[in-house]
Amino acid sequence: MLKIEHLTKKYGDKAAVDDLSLHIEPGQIYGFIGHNGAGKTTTLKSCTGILKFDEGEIYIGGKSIKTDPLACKKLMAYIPDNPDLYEFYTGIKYLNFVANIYGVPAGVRDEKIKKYADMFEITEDLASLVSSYSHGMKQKLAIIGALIHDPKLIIMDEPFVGLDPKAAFTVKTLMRELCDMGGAIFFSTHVLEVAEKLCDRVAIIKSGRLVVSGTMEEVKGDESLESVFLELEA
Amino acid sequence: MVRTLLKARIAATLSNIGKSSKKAGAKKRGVGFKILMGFLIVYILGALIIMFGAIFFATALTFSEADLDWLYYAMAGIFAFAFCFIGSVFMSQHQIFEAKDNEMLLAMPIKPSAILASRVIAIYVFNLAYTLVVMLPAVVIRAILFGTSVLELVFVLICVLLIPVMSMALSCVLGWLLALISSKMRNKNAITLILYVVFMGAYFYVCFNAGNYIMKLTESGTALADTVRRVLFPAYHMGLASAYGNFGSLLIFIACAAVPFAIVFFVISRNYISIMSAKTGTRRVKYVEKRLRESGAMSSLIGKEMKRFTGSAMYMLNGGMGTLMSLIVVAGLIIRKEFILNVAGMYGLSGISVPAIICMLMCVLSSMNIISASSVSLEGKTMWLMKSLPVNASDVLIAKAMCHFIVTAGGAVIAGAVACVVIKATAVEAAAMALVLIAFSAFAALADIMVNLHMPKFDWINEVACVKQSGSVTVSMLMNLAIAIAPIILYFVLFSRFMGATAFLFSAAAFFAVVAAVLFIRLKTAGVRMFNELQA
Repeated sequence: MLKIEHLTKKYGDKAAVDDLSLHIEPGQIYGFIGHNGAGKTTTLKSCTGILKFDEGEIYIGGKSIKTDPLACKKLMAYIPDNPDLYEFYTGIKYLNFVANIYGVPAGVRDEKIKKYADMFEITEDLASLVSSYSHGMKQKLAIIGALIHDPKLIIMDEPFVGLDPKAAFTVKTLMRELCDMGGAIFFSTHVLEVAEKLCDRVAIIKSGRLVVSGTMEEVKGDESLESVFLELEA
Repeated sequence: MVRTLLKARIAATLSNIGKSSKKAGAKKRGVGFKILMGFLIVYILGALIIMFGAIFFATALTFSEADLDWLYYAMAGIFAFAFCFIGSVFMSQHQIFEAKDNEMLLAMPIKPSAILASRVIAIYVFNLAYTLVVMLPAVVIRAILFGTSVLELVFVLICVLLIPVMSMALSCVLGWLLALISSKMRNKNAITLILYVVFMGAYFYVCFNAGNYIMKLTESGTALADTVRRVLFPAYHMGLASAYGNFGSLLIFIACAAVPFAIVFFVISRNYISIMSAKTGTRRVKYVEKRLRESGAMSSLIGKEMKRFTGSAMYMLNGGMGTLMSLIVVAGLIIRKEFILNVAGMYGLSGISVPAIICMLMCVLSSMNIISASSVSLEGKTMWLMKSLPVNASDVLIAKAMCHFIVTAGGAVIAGAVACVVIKATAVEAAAMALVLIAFSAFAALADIMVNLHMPKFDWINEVACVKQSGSVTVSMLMNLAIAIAPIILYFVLFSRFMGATAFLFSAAAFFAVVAAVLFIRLKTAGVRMFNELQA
């Protein structure tokens, strides 16, 4: 579903991501771990087409993000670490805007919005301006916006930040459901306990370079993910 | 602490024009750009100083002959106060009460009074500049006509330093009231819009009647002196202190400026946290489910731009000022048709068809619309949406240009149509006028987008910095104005010798249309490339 081949992204002379390769298959929840400034967000943004990269290739559903960005973007959704949304819209107008961009049919979008807004308990707030939302509510709205067109791949940057425990549980459930239906998820997190329980595979990045990747068992063995991560960071 | 905060504020203000945020490492503007900006600032200040100089020159001799020298300085003080107040009332609201970094600063171990002081000092600097624009010509004109003394200059200087303080006391209170009212209102855009239009209306009314006022000032100086003495006693004492070196009056004027300001500062700083943390206009509306309307991606993008524009009173008033002015001018044309046509005749334009004059005026007014000049910058932190959603960069840019075009061309054509009816233009003249206005609007919409792509600004804290103070907005406004005026000059200098005004309008429309077409192609190639490289 997502193939990152020898990705290199530089800011000036400094390589934020250096020759990184990862393959994410349908059905997998892939965790991406690293210290602050390791290159996680740069990698995720490169996958979504937000950032241009210097070397390498990224394929989504077999299509190149460089040469066919629109086709790639139709297949996926991105949820950033900070849910900066259009504050001049109400929640429902924002979701309708996203649905229009993805060409989601009217009946389908009604159904999806109702389903997910009820799950995240923000249905009553959909008529309020996004500017009046709390961080957590904006995060929920961004997640609903990402799910509205049934993406095959979701790229998430710290998706649990700002969510209440119930909403975080809902997100984890939805992530698993999407992957069980053949989708894939690539997400970064600093919450190692969540990554340990949720991920099928995990990759650890340090100073822009991939340090280790594999199934959770391959990476952590008998230790906890936290101790493996701390050893690698030392 | 105040110094540190003030440095940060000044750095933020200077960065609005000093550098772009096109890339992660914002690059410095070149020397040429700085010279251009410096030239523009000098030009604007020069024009204002000359205008006030002319007013003071007309009144100085009359007041002196009537032995009312104090009234000269009193009137200069009143003008300076009004100029400061109008210029800073909305600035006070945004910078003191609605700045986005208020919460961050309040969470730090900083006294609220220090935060308030840093903001107030920054506004003071702006107000002092406004005051100097008025008072400098007043002092120079008087010195040229009657000479001056060191004492007079020192006393005037003290008054000049205090006028902004006096104005700020009032603008802080009104800014607070505006913030309070708008936070309680369901539709705060509407109230801000109404208040702003009232302010602008009053401002233009005064400007429009300035000639009458000056005539009345010179004719009835004694009656005016009585009124100032009785009603505006701070101005009276400022006049006495400045013109005659009256120390007692200077002390009274200092008290009139300092005491209200000290009270306002004390009250606001004591209640700063409660004012800042008061619930703002976030009344929740319960969602009632209804079937959502499906529309295409392009119309959604245009709808988004229109919603952003209409969702902010500040953006509407600054970006759409030309449309507002066009409608005001047309209303003026309806009310005072004969007067305006006579003015046109007085300036030697009677040889040209009136529709041509009105069309050119509409173009100049339309050039004041700068909606698309900040629309790329306004994406700011939401840029990730446009970059990650499946939309073409060209569609994003065209939608932004369309918003500018719809507002500008729509307003100009409506105003032009009403004007055509009032002045009884022929169908051919009306058609020529409509084509010029449409073509010019298309040109300005596309040109301003290109300017914004060259000079994006994403690191804004308050969108005011983007919509009012960014380099792309200043450059766009002046570029549009220059290009709107160019055909008028060309016609008088060259084309009027062998071409009728209506034929010239058709030619101008064709010219603007061709340039717009070139810009459209450029937007879809270079513009898209630049947009793709932007990193918010």
